[in-house]
Amino acid sequence: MKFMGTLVFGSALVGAGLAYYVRERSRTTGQSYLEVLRQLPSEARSGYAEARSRAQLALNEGLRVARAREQQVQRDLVAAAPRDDAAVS
Amino acid sequence: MTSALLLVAANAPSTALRYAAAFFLVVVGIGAIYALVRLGGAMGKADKLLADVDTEVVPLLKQATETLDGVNTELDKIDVVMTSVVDATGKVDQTTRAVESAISVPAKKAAAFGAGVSHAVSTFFNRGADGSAQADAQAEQAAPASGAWSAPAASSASGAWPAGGAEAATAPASTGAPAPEPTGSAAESVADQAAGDAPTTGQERDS
Repeated sequence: MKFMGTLVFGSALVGAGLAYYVRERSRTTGQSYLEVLRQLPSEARSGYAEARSRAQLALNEGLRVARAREQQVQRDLVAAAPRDDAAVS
Repeated sequence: MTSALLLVAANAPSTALRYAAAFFLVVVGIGAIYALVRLGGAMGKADKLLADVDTEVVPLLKQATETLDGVNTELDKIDVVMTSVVDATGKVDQTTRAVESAISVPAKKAAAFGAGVSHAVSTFFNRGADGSAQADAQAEQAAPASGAWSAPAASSASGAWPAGGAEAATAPASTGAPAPEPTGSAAESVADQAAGDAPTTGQERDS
């Protein structure tokens, strides 16, 4: 019963979202609801592909920035450390 | 009489010299006696002084020796204390280095992770000027070549996420479907949407 309730609630939520998307899409593009629904799979595929490419790019950029930041922190730590000759003097 | 006087006159210098020499010797003798008496007094005082020194300085030297022995003992204790302080300083230095290494490495990793995640999220949601071309190229490679889909080109032209008005302006033509002419308020809304979804440049995003 609980599963069915969750399923019904989720379906209603997805349906509402889908209806909102179709209505907004139709309003902005001037296409009919049927056209929007027909293009929905391709839109989903394009969104998935672009999201994947964006994620790949973001991962590469994040790794690059993380390495640069780590090197910078290492340089800061080395520069902030007291030198041995200064400690002797 | 005359001859006697002549004799006396002839011998007068010698006699005077003899008297003078005798007087000189007497004076020298008196002076020598005086000097010896004074010297004897000085020697007596020196003897007394040496006796006083002998009786007073020797205990002082003994006390100084005892004091120096005590000082040496204290110096030995201070040496032990200094050795302990040096050992403690070394241990503190080792502890400090260990704590520094234990803190700096996670802090460095955390800073790198935070910067990387922040930049990755920023890159994911805001397409950069140089990153857009790469992302679009990857999207075109990953996109299926089937159907009526040509949205990535439109979205790449707009640079917005998700593609809104600009894609809407090109999507009907790419699908091959008859594109309804947006007229009136619909056309204005499309133009407004396109203007609203205009891609922001890299400078605007950075600012």
